[in-house]
Amino acid sequence: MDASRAAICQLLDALPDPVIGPVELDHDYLDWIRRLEALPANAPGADKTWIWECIRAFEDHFRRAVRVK
Amino acid sequence: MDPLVPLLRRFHEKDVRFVVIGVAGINYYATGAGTTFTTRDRDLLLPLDPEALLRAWTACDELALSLAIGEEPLDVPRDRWLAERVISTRSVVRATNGRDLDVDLSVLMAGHDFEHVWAERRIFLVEGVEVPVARLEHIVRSKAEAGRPKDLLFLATHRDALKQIFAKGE
Repeated sequence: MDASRAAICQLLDALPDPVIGPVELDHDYLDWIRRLEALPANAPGADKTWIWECIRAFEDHFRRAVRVK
Repeated sequence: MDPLVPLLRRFHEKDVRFVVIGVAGINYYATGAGTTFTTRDRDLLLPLDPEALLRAWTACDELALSLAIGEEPLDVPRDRWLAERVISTRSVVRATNGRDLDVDLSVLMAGHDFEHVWAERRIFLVEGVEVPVARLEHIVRSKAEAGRPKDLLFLATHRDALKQIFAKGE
């Protein structure tokens, strides 16, 4: 990152986060959330080791990508 | 290995109560790659307890994680006075190894208090370590309550991902 871009990032980071909300969540979204929580895969004690591995694989894939055309 | 696991293990050893919140918390409810969200930050909600905060900082020290508030390193000595100031200002302390682990230690979750979130937490396992995670509904409601543009953008994306799963055939 060049110096001017770094300075801009520093300036933006120093600004407080703008706020739009709070917002209401719609019925469908809340229903899907509760259904997701209730899935057997999300039962207490479920093994979630795969989550980090999945995210890391995703990041590694794009980190290694090179433009060929 | 998930670089967060050693820290969580150390928190358990030191009786530090915490729950994973934020996008990292939402990721634990994913059903597949399509419902995971890339994030560098892991957000942990801690109680409004200076002694717990001190134990959490000690755990970070023991794992050679550096601690900072914003751009400034966390003051030393890291004593009860400092922990009380951090709590009273609801400051976020970031713990990082400078490579692949950035953990935000927070005592504030918009619209929720720690004890309520803790009481309804869900415990998952990662590499054999118990990971207390806030209820998905609590995390999502917190983002809606915070109402920052980045939260609302995330919620729109998350809603769409759930719609892909549950709205099929309806």
